[in-house]
Formats: sequence, structure tokens, C-alpha cells
Amino acid sequence: MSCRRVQPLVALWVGGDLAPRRARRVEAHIAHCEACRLLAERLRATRVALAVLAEEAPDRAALQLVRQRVLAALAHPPAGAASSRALAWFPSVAWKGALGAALLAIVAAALVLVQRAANRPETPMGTAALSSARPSEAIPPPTRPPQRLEEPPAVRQRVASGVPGESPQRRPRVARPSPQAREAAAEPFVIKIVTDDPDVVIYWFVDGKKG
Amino acid sequence: MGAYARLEPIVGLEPEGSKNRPDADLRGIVERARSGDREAFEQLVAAHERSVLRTARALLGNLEDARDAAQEVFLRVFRHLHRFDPRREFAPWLYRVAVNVCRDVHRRRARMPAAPLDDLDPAVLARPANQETDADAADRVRAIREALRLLSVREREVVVLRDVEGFSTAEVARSLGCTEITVRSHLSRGRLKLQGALSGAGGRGR
Repeated sequence: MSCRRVQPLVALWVGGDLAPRRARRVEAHIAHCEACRLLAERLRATRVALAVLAEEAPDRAALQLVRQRVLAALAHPPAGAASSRALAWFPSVAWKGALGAALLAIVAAALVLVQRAANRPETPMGTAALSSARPSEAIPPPTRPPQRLEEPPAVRQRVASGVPGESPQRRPRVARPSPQAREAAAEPFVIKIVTDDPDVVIYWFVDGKKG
Repeated sequence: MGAYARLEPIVGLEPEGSKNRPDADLRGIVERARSGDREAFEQLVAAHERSVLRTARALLGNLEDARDAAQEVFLRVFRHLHRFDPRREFAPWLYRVAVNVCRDVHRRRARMPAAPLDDLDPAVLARPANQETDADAADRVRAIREALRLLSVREREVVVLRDVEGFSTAEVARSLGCTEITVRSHLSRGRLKLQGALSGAGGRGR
């Protein structure tokens, strides 16, 4: 074994940190290598020197200060710091609470998205609620544009012009049904438009049959 | 076997302090402290404050930082003592906290400057301990502290825990959260660097 490979092992050997088999190889090398023997002596002196640190008299003032600070911090924990044992449970509870809130938020967001996705292809109006009611009367002819029964003039005007209304309280999102949606709706149906004003509800009777 | 026959691994130097012995009293104190006994925790601080401060000073290089770190160590121990597994030894767990606190201090520092050892008299280091004066002893301690600063953070941690605090290789591995092989690797490099610095070679030595 070369000195270069032995030296790291010598550094362990002086502290008894080598397995017996490797230790014997190191001893065999040192038996005939003066340089590695000197290295071992120096390493041994280094360990003796390090042991001095453990025997050094403690800095009593520093120890006193540390103890005082620790006990003071325990007696008067800083506001907002969960440093007492009474609050040792806090992290786990906080995590569970945060996880629950996050799950609730995800579920709520998913519900909203599902509702929007369900409404979008069926009803071109963003705030419309689809009803299955099919009144036999008041079904408009298929070729005519959809009739807006009981629709206030102001709302109707905004629908025609596409200009946002002046009053944000009464501004239903209205759009014309797409051809695909009209084809899909083979049967007449009623669209209920709920505006921001609870007193204004619009019912739209639609005959989905073409031609 | 010649002159080298006197060279033996200095196993007798193993500083087997009280931390390495099973201590029923200490276990009882730890158990009571875990259950919220403030007085028991104070006893725990009193039992370990010296070694924690010493380790922090060796790892950080100055007393002021070591004092702050020791304080933080005990506060963290108090906060997280409920996580400690009472079936295991307390000291490695405590030193793991101490090492982590010191690593945090190192992260806050941009770099720990390594002071030169030029003003040290090499004769002081070579002089046997029983012949040295108080001034020599102080110089020796200072030289060792300065030499420790030449080591990497991980080498310093391993050397301090093994050669100053007297933990076994397995305990050092547990304290640092690494394998024993890694500990031996850092230990070997650290000891070689230290002997190079303390013998005036400024490197790995020969």
C-alpha cells in the first residue's frame, strides 16, 4: 500500500476508528515507513491538542447569560411565538386546518367550474338556469328569433346593442345561442334568466326545432 | 518492533463523557421535561449548557455567536422535546439540534474568514502540556480554534463531535444525519488538515 493511500487511514487509525483488519494493514505499513510514522505522531499530538478544548474551563459568565436568557424566554415568550409547550400541538392543528380549508376551496372551485361547464353549451346566457318545463302554449315558431317574454325594455335594448348597461345591478350577461346549441336542443325549453335585481326574472321560451 | 512500537491508537483518549453513558437520572429528567416539567427542563439545561456552549464555540469560532447559538439550541429543544423518542439517547438528539443551529448561523454568515496562524509560536504547540505556562496553554487553545476554522463546516462538525466531545462514530453519524462512512471520510480529512495547520505546514502535511 502506498503512503498516499495509507495516510487517510492513519488519520483514522490514531483515533481507533478503523476496523481491525485495516488497522493491521496500517500498522504493517508504519512498521517500515518513517514518513507515515511521523505523520501518525503528529496526528496523535493533534488529537491530544483537541482534547484540551474539552478540558477548558467554561466561561461562567457566558453560561450564566445563556441560562438567564433561556429561562427568561421560557417565562415570557414573545407575543405571537408558539414557544410554549401548551402550544406544542399548534403546528399539527394548523396544518390540518389549512389542509381542510384548502380542500374546501378546491371543492367549491370545482363545483363552480362544473356548474359553468354544464350551463355553457346548453344555455348561451351565463346566468341562466335551464328549466325542463315545456309549456305547450307560447312556443314560438322555429324560424322566428327567440322571444323574450316579460323582458324589460332596458334589458332588451342592451341585448340588442351589446353595450354594457349603465346600472351594474341590472346587467345580465346575455349572448345569442350558438347554432350548435340550437341544434342540440331538439325540444322546446324554457330559460330562466336571473338578474342581479331579485325583482327582475326573465323567462325565455325556446323552440329548439329547426325548420 | 522499534521506535514505532510505542505508537498505539490512542483509544484511551476517547473522551467518554457522561453523555456516552446510559444515565438513568438523565433519562428521568428528560422524561419529566417532555411531560412539561419546567424544573426538569432547567436541570436539563444545567446538565448540558457547558458542552453545548463549548461545541457551539468550536463550530462557530467565537464566544458571542456561540452564546446566541446555545440559547437558541435550548429554546428549540424546549419547543421540540415532544418529538424526541425517549427510547433513544438524548445527547445525539441534542447535538443534532446544536449542529443545525450552528449551520443556520453559518448560512447567515457570508463566509467565515480563516485567520492566519503566523503570529503563533510553533514551539508552543510542540511543547508538552506539563511544561507549558498559562500563556502557552492559552496560545495552544487559540491555535486549535484557529486551525479548526480551516476545516470545512462538515469536517469541523465531525472532528468536534468525535475528538472534542467524544462521541462514537455511530453517534456522530446520528447527530449529523449521515452514514458512518461519511463521518470517517470527513474525520480523516479533518484530522489531516488540522495536523497540517498545527504543525505549521498549512495543509495536509506530508
